Amino acid sequence: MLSMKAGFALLDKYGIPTAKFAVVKRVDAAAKAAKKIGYPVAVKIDSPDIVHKTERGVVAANLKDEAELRAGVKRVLKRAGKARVRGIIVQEHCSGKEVIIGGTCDAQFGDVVLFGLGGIFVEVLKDFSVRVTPITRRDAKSMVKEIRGYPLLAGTRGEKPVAIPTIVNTIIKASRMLEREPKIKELDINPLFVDEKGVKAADVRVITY
Amino acid sequence: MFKPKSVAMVGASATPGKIGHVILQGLMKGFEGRVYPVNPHEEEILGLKCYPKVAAIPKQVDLAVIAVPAKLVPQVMRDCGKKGMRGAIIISGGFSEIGNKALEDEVRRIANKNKIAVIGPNCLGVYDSYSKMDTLFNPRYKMERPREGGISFISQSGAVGAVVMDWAGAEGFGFSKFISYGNALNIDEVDLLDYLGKDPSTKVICMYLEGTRRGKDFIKAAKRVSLKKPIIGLKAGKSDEGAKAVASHTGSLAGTARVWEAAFRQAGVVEARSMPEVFNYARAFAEQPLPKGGRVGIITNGGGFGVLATDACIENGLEVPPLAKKTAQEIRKKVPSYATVKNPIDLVGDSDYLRYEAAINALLKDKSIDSILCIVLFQTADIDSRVISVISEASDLAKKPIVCCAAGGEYSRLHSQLLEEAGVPTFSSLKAAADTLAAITYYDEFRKSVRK
Repeated sequence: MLSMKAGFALLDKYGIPTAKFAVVKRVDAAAKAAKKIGYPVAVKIDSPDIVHKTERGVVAANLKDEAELRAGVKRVLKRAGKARVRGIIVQEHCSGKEVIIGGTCDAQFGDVVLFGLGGIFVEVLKDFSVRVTPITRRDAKSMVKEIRGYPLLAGTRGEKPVAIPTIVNTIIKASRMLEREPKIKELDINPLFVDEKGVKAADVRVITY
Repeated sequence: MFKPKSVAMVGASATPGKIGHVILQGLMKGFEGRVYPVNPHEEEILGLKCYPKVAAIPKQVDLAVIAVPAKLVPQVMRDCGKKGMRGAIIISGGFSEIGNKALEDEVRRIANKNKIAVIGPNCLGVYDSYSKMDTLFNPRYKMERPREGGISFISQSGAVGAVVMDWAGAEGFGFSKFISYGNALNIDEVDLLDYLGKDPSTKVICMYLEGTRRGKDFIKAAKRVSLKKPIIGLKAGKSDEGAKAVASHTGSLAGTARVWEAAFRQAGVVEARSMPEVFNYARAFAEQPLPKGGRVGIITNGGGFGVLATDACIENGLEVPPLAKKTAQEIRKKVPSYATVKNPIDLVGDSDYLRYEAAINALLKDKSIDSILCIVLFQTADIDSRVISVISEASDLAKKPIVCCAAGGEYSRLHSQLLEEAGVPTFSSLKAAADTLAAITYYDEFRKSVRK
């Protein structure tokens, strides 16, 4: 699995916006990085042993000042337990709706891309769409529209719609990335935050061959 | 493969019931090309001179049909190569399907070196209802052959293919070509799709698939072809065997079933979930025009069936819009005041064929209706065979699709068959009728969205 830094570099290469972040070793450096990024921030542990960060409790989000940051770092380090820690990630706080764009390699069709709403929608309700690469604009549009949770993105109860055309572009970029980077075996851009203005990847998991 | 001028039947047998005998018999029923039986132990089979080997045939031969034990196939293929043949159908089994990959690879090398296109091995071969080219080794008294028509069928499995042929023959479905391609030595489902896409006598392509070795090529070819003619796909084996070792959400979620569904969708392949569904769709595609949209007009002589039909349409994403004022007025003039002139149109239990005629003609003219679902309950006293001519005559001229639903016993079944023979797809269940309308609507939408 690529480190988060390498994963984000890959997203940058394909024009997928990522949240500002820094990887540090100690709490003092974390405070310095947070000041530079600007509060509020999130901190999380970068470890090759931890695949699901939220489930392991190694994420502390929406930390508003240095005191909260220091407490947050302490907490996530404790929760990481015996896992190898590559670093502490300090990241700009993201808001909006969470979606996932992923990729995997199918035995018969090769690379495929997945799209869904983040969290329970994908995992529990299995509400996601799939297409085989290369993905056309028509395919990408229908991927977004065919999930049951689509109205949540299109805006319900007076909410403004999120930037759906940007999601469509991001799906196409992910398709291109999978095609051009044969070393990628599996990919989760999760969560990808999306609001009215655009998208921002807050975490990425890249499993290589 | 389908219209050879001459065929060598290698492994022809003089023993009735043997595969090499049944195939030879099949090739002698209506097929106009020359047939040369090949078998070193016979002088003559079924009145035809028998040759000891391919090389002994004095004239040029286009195609070999090979039904000899697997281990003899490489030698036969070399002989065919020397004879300058360009095609072979290898019926014989005993290759990669039982783990004998080395033998299959050897045959592939010989075939490719000699530029011989091969269907099989381990297959039923082909059937062409027009040229009567027939290599199917199931005897005709046990397995019917379909009549001429526009449906072509590609089957990875011989057994499934045999049942389909028998059934299509019995049901009277019109077929163009049938191909069982077995282990896909050097012709696979992608090549066959491309071929049938260009085949003028094929109007609808049906596929039974278990897997593909060329997923991305399959999507490309299917998309290309489905812009010209509809493809109906039935994929077997969609459940994942065992859990894959995956470390991501995506890897664990995007399993075989979902990826195949996606592939079909990207390529515009209409997915069927059972064999009856394949033929429900195929009949509608072969016999009816495509709808311009999803707005269904429903006609019935029983209120309950109208409501159920509406539900079945809505569940399938179709619409059942209110009737245009003009349409309603026109129908009202010709039906009694107690009939319900809404959508669904309930002509009520004492309806005769004339009320059907009025309703169908009005709906055909209505620009806000794209397709017609016509329910006829033949159980009522006033309905008789005349309604069949009304529906079939309308269907012949119509620019929008008409499908029927007639549920019930013997009398209904008989009339359904008459409708069916007149080219009106007729179903015994509303769900099947609505699913079919949805399938042809979906296909039309796909074509429009790609062309846009």
